[in-house]
Amino acid sequence: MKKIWLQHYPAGVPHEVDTATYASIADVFAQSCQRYHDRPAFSSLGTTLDYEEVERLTRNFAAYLQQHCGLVKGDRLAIMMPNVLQYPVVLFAAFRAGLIVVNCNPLYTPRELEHQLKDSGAKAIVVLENFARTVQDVVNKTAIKTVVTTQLGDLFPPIKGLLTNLVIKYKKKMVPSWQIEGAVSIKAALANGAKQILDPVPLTQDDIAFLQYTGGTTGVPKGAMLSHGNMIANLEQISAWIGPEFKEGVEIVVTPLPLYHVFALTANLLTFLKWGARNVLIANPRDIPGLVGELAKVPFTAITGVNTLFAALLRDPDFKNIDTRALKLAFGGGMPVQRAVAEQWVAVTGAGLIEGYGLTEAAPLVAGNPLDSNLYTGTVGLPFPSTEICICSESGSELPLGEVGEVYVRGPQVMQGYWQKPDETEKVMTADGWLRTGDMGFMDDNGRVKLTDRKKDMIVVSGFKVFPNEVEEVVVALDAVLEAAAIGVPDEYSGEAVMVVVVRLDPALTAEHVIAHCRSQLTGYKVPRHVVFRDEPLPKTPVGKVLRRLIRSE
Amino acid sequence: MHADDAEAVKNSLNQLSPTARRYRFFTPVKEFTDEMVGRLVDVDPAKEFAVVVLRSDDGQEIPIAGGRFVVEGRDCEFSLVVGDSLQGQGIGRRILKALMYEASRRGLNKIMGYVLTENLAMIALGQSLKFKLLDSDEGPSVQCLARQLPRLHVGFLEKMVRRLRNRQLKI
Repeated sequence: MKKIWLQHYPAGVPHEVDTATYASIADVFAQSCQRYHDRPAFSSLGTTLDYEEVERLTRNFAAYLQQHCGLVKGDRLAIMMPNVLQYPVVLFAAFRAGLIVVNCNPLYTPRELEHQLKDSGAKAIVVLENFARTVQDVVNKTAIKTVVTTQLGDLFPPIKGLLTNLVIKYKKKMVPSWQIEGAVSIKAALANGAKQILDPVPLTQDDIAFLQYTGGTTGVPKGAMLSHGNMIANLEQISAWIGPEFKEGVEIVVTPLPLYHVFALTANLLTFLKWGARNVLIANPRDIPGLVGELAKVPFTAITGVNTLFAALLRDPDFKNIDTRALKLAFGGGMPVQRAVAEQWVAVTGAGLIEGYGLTEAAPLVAGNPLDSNLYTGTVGLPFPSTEICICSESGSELPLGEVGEVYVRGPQVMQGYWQKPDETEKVMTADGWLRTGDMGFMDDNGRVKLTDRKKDMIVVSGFKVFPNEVEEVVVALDAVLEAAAIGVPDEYSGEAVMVVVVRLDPALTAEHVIAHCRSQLTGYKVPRHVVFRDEPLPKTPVGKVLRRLIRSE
Repeated sequence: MHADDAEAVKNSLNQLSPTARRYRFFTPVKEFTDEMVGRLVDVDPAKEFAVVVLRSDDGQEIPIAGGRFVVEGRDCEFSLVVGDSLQGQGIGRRILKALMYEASRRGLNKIMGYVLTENLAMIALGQSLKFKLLDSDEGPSVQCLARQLPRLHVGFLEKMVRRLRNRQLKI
C-alpha cells in the first residue's frame, strides 16, 4: 500500500509522530501542571481553576480513592457527569491512582447503566447528584462499593458554590430525590484525601486507561480497551495536525460536546491538556443561547462539535455578533458536516470548519481535513500521521483508488480489543493489526477518504450512534407489541432520526405509550421520533426474514 | 415435519439467544408464538423443503437445528439455524448440503439466502460451499449468499423413473 496522502499534507505536519513522549496520561497531566502551573486550566459557569489547583484536587481525590477506598491499579472507576469542573479532577485523579475509567452517559436509563456497570465490573462511581437517582436504582445489582456524589457548585468558591447548589436543588428542582446508603460527597472525599499519602502508581503505555463503551457493529454495548499508549498516540497525532497553527500555554478551547464521549475526551481534554490550554467546559450544549453567552465572554481559539451544533449556533441571532477573530479551528466529527453549514460557518466566523473522522475503537481520530484550507471537501480528509487507511474488499484484499469498500485502519491509536469479548474483538481486528471499521467509503486520487455508507446497521442522530436492534428489543418488550422494526429517516435537524414501525397485538396501544416506554429504557437520542403502526405483519421474505427495504418503500 | 412437531420446535426456538434469533429472522423475536411456529412446521411439499436435526435425549427427540428452502420460480431462498451451544461443529454445513442436494434434485437453478453482514460464521460457511457473496438491496447490513445448483444425475434418473411409473399408472 502506498501512502499517497502524505504528499498532500500541509507544510509543517510530520508524516510520523513520536508516540513515546509520555509514559501515561498521568504523566501528560503531571508535566502540564508543572509547566503551566499558574495558567488557567478549566472554566465552567464563570469559575476557573488553574493547573496548580487541579493538580492539588486530583492528588487529594486520588489519595482518597487509593487509601480510603482501597482501590488498586487496574480497578475500574465509573464517572457519570456532564462537562463540569469535577470531571477532569476525577478523571486525572483516577489515573494518578492507576485506575481504569469507565465513562457513563449521565442521561443513561437504569437499564443502560446497569449493563455498563456490570460488564465493566466497576468498583466505584462518581456521579453528579442530578443523576444519582439512576445510580440508586441499580447500585445494589452491581459490584460498586463506593459511591461519591457531587453537586454542581462543589468546586466553585464557597458562597457561589452554596448558592448554585441551592438554586439547582430547590429553585430549578433539577435533582430528583435520591438516597444511597454510604454515599460520600466529593467535598468529604477531598478533605479525607488531603490527610492521606498518595503512593505513586507507575503506569506504562500498555496499561488500560479507559473502557469506552460503544455498540460496535452489533449494538451490544462493549467496552473498547483504550490504553494510555492509544490515547497518547492520538493526542500526539491531533497535536501534529494542528501544530503549525497552535501555540503552547495560550490557547482557549471550548468544549460543548460531552467529555464522556471519546471525541471531546481526546480532541478537547487530552490534546489541549498537552498544549497547556484553558478549557471552557459547557455543561449543557442544548441551551444554545447559554452557549452563545459563554462564547461571547472568551476569546476562544478552538471549538469542537457536530454538524447539528454548528448549525444551531449559526441559526442563533446573537452568534453573528460574537468576536471570533481569535478562532483558528472549528472541528466537526461524529456525523457528516453539511456543505451549507461549513460554508456559512467560514462566512460568519472567518475560521474553517474542519471535518474529521474517527471511531471509539481508534481513540478516536484517524483522519481529518488539512487546516491550511477552509474549502469544503465533502470528505473526511487525509489519514493522520502514523495512521494507515486501506479500502478493502469483502475478502480483505486492497481495492484500487476510487472503489468503494470497507475502511480499514491501522495505527498506534487502535484499541487493544473489547473488554472480555475475544469473539467480538476477533470480528473487527485482523492478525496484522488492522481495524475493520464497518464504514464503507473510497479514497480519491489525493488520498482523501470519502465515506459513502455504513456496513453497520445504525442510525446516526446528531453524531450519536443508535443501533436499530437495541430500539427494537426495547419496543417488542411491550406486551402489546408483536413485532417492531427501527429505521433511520432523514431529519433536517439531527441528520437522521429514529422511526419505529410497530405491529400491535393490542390496538389500544398509542404512539405516546411507545415513546414513553422507550424514554424509560433508552437515552434520549435513541428514543424514536416517529412511531408508525402497521396492521399487517412486517414484510418478510419467503423464509421469514424481515426486510427493511420493503418497510421503507411502504 | 408435521403439525404435532410444533410444540417441540417451539420449545427449541424459544431457547435461541437474541443474536441467533436476529441472525435468522433479522428482527428481535420476543417469543415464538403458536401461530409463528405453525407457519414454520406447515411445510408445503410442492414449494418448500425443511430439514430438522434432532437430538435424542432420554427417548425424547429435541430439535437442535434446522434449515429450509422455499421455491420461487426456478430459484429458491434458504434459511438455516443452529442452536447456540452447538454452533461451529459442522451441523449447519450438513444441513446446507442437504438443502442444496434436494434443490438440485428438484431441478432448481439457483439457491440464495439473505445474511446479516455481521454474521461472519454463516458467510464463511456459504463461501466454503462455493456460494458467492453479493450485495443486497437492503443496504450494507444485509448481503446475499447465492450459487448455481449442479445438475444431479441421480435426480435426473429418479425423475425419469417417476415419469415412467406415472405413465404405467395411467395405463
